[in-house]
Amino acid sequence: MAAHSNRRVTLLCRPTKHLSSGSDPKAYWLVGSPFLPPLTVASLLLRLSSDDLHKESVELRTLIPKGFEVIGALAYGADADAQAAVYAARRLRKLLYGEEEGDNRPVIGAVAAGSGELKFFVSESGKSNSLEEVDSVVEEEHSEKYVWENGCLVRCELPIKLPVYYPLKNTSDVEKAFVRAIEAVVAKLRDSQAVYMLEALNKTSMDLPAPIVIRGGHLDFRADLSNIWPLAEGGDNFDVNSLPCSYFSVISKGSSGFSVENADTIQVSVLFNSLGPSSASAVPVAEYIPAQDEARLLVVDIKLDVLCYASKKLPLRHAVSRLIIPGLADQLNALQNSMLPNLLGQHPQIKPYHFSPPHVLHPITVFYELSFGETEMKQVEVRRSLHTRLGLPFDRPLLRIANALDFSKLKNGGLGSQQKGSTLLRDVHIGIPNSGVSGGSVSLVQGSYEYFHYLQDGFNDSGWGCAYRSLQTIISWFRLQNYSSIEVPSHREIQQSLVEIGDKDPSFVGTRDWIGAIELSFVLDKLLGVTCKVINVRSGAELPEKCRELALHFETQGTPIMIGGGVLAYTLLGVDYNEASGDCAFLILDPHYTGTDDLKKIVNGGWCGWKKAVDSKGKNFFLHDKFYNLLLPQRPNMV
Amino acid sequence: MAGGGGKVSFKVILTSDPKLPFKVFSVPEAAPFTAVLKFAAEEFKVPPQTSAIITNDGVGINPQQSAGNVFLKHGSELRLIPRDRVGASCMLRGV
Repeated sequence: MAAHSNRRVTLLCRPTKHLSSGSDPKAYWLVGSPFLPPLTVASLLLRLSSDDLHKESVELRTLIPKGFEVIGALAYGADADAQAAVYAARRLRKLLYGEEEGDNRPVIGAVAAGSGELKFFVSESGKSNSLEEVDSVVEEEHSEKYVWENGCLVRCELPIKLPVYYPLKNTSDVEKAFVRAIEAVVAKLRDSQAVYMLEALNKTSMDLPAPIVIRGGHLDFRADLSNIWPLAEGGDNFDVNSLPCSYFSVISKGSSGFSVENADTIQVSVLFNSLGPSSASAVPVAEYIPAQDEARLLVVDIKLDVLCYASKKLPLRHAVSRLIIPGLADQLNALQNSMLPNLLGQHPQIKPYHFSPPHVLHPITVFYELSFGETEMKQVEVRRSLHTRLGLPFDRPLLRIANALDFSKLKNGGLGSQQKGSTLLRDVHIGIPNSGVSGGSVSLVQGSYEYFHYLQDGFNDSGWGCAYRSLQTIISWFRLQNYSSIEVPSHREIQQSLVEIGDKDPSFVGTRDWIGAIELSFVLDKLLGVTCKVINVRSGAELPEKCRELALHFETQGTPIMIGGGVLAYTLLGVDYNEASGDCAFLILDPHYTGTDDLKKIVNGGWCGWKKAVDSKGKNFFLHDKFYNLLLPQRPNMV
Repeated sequence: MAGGGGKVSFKVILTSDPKLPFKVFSVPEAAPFTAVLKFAAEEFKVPPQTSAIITNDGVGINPQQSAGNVFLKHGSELRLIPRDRVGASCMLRGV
């Protein structure tokens, strides 16, 4: 059968996670990087088009950041064939990177038969058809460290207002003129007169290295990215052209950890040097080209934004020539194709966004058309398609504009210090003392929420508003996870909703009447379209028995829970549960707090803390002679 | 439990009783679901205003829909639970 290769495949992601037990044959592209060892698989992307490889290449060209590349394919199913996978991967590589690049590198063909067992084969070169089986497959434990310890991000934002002149007599010529104009921009980027300024993204207020200027004339457009020679350390000659990306590394790692958000980011600005050195002095000269006939000017608004991955050892000028410029060119061509159909009409408002979706090691870049807003059908389909390709769940917004990477702010690790203009405390459970359950497994709310409690906003709801406050906390969770943009409703608005759906008489509005879990489910359904599950127990003594179900809720849904019973409402943010011993604790956020929004006071006073069902003095937290309703909000299936 | 001739039937279990007694109700499809809630509460001798109906898997049901709608969306096996009303200010301090 196949010969055996000496190579090793390193898995930074877990392909088996993606392979569901469905019987449909599937194909995936394997993504790696010239900056990582060969045959290192950083991610898996589902192949969406089974017959149109050209379409795949168009979508993947701008999706995968430069610095990452397609290095193979995986075929899943009963008829999975490694040779076919390799062949497809090579053809895709040729479409994406050119004939030569398509053939020269080793490419992985992986197969997973129905049993899920993975086998890896490598094709050393496109020139021969032979495959070798790779026996050595290593699963890397610390994938994020692997990618970001020696890697960094390089970003370039380039807004262009492109003037296109076209003859009035022959308006169809505008398309030719546009294509020529785009080609001219691409050529200008590669021109020796182009100048690239590189600086560190201002992450902290620490002293940053000085910006660097690299001139177009010093760029090498054919440098081999996977062959980075360690550069000789400069001596006295500070040669800008030999500086590596690590020049901009900020030495502050420590506790932040490795991730896309924490990676060193180099910002590149494109400038054009119109004045070359000239020996003779001359007067300013205006150039003009006469138009044959009456002509019209069309200005096309283009926003380019490329994000690339580079090894810290990579010389900065190669980052510009082999990552940034090809990235800009690819985006220009993609935009050209989107704009061409309607050049003389309404231009689509297209803007690139970068995302770092959970469990995907590298960032991705997506073009969104904003003309009709995010909830418009086509945009929803675009996002669903991306979720499918990336293996992301369909019950949570992860690729909304609000989820995009934001490079403009000063990055800091502070909680609740940014955005949405709110002064409420967020995620107050972070950093609180342990639950005291030994050997327990903790399941917590996923994502962020705001802490609502009595007397906030100068509104006196002490003694009656606790369920309303718990509802506000839950709604804030749905807001912060981008499921909804409605404002968190006031007590009055909550009451109004209940009247509108007919659960309460109109006289209810403005009263201090109590509500409970069922009313909360009605309001969540009406205002957010959110369905809830209700757990009803006859006695508070039964609550510890529900821990497994509650833990499962936090693992799968991760939404905050409202507990109503015995005249008190609480918000439940997590459970700590030891299955073997039955010992358990509940992470309670208490809406009855009447003090100021001072985190220390709140935590020290136990207003957010772990409560055991029976405390050390034998007191029961939940009343045994009262029934309890627990409200478990379910994530709506929306992206 | 099928519905026929424009009527739908529900089997409602009283969860607050450990013996889990149940009753079967038949209502016109177009009837508001509040009618089912009312009948069930009366049969079980609990106040309708402090009762709610949820599905067997615990999904909350908004009674402001037709019985036919509820039958289609959630099936016929339902549970009657007491509604909690909460708000007192004398609550626990941290342990």
